[in-house]
Amino acid sequence: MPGDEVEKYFRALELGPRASLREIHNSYLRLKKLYSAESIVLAPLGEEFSEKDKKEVLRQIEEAYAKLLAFKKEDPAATEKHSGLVRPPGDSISDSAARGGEAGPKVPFLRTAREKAEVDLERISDELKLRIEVLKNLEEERFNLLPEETYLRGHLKAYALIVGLDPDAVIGEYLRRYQAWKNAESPDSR
Amino acid sequence: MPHTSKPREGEIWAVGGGKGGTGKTFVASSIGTYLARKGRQVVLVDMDIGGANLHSFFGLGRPRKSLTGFFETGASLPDLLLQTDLDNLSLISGDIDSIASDKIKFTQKLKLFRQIMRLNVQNVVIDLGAGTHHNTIDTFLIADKMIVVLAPEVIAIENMYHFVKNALFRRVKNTLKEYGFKEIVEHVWDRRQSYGIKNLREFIEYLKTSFSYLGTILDHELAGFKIYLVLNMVRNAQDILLGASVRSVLMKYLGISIEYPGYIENNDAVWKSVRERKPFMLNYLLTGCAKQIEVLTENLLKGREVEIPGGI
Repeated sequence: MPGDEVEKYFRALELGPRASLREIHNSYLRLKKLYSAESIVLAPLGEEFSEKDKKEVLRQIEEAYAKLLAFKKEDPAATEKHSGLVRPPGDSISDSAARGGEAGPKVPFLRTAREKAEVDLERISDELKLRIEVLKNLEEERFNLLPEETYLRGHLKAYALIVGLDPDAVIGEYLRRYQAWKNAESPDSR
Repeated sequence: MPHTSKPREGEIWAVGGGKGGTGKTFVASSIGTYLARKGRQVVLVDMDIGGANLHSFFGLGRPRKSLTGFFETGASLPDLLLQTDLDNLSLISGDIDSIASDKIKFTQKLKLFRQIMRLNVQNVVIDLGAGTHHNTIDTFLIADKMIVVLAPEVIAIENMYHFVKNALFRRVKNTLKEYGFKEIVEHVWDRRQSYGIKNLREFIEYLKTSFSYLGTILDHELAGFKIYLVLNMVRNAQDILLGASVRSVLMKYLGISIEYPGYIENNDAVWKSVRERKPFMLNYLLTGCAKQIEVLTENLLKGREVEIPGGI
């Protein structure tokens, strides 16, 4: 992607050109929320900032977010080293997941993806402010030790962004396995 | 060259924002106090003509000299400086007859601006009055740093947008005039209704599309038009985030640059001392605001933005 285009997308998310993935993600969520609802910040402009304008802003935010995620993936040198966004070409969740197997993973797919991306746990812990044990439980799929689903989704999303995977796919895949475990678990616990 | 050619080292900061009661005088005097305590030479100028009370923030009684001297007897600004109790900090009072403000002549105004620019100090901090009178806006526009003070409530936000739009409109108009496009600007503005132009943004868009050669000037002008946003009377984290939201809306709506250097918490002790016209500055170090004022002013000096708790 040409430099000025990248800059444009960073600007759309109101970030400097060296923003981390986490900042990109946070800014995206904040702006999406801001332009999706009425607020005392938008109300005073009334029709001067119409629904159409808001839609256009939202479109630009979505575009910028998608482009910047892709940009960070394809050009790891452009990101800070510590976010370790290296994703080998041709890799995908389903590949890793398939390797992990359906019936309880021998090699859990999150860890596989992370190792391929050459990111160590400390870095993720540092970036996400999550304890290493929490991350290990997440990777090793120790479902009984995981937080409740809302938090779990958040952790997975952030984790996915750092190792360069599609967050929705990761959440979908992970929760499918989590759910399967839960269903298998509940008759025993009664 | 349009609007800035100041052979001086000091910086002029103007504190405005439209609505009364958002704490402009408090912010201006606090910033001035911090800068002076830091060892910088500072002059505070009270341009809240007719509603001037900056002097009372420093425990000074009705000032014996003020801008009246400038407007009526032709005194020059250095002769009108009042020393405060703080080293390095003096002020020029705007305590003049309120009727006089409408009688200020254009030439007097320019002379005043010239003299403000020539004050031989590191920082001039101008406290502007409420409203969007063209004299207030013009004073705002001479500043190197244009600061708006906002309280977290809808009327203050609305007035601030109005204030910023007014300032931008005047800047755009003046710049295009300086480039020799006075006729075009006036022509379009006078016929704005028949052209279906309902607001400033549409006006700018119209100019850009109809007169392509104005596009570069206008883009440059918009990008260079920077407002520093200070949120006052903040009560919680949500209020703090409001600053970031206002920043976003102004950038996206008007295409101008906004920085959010800081916020100040709502503090009852401050408001009590302001209401009672007590010299707040004597209590400066006692208030919980001192740290936030430091952060805010340092960020203004260094061109940085405030860190928002929890990140944005």
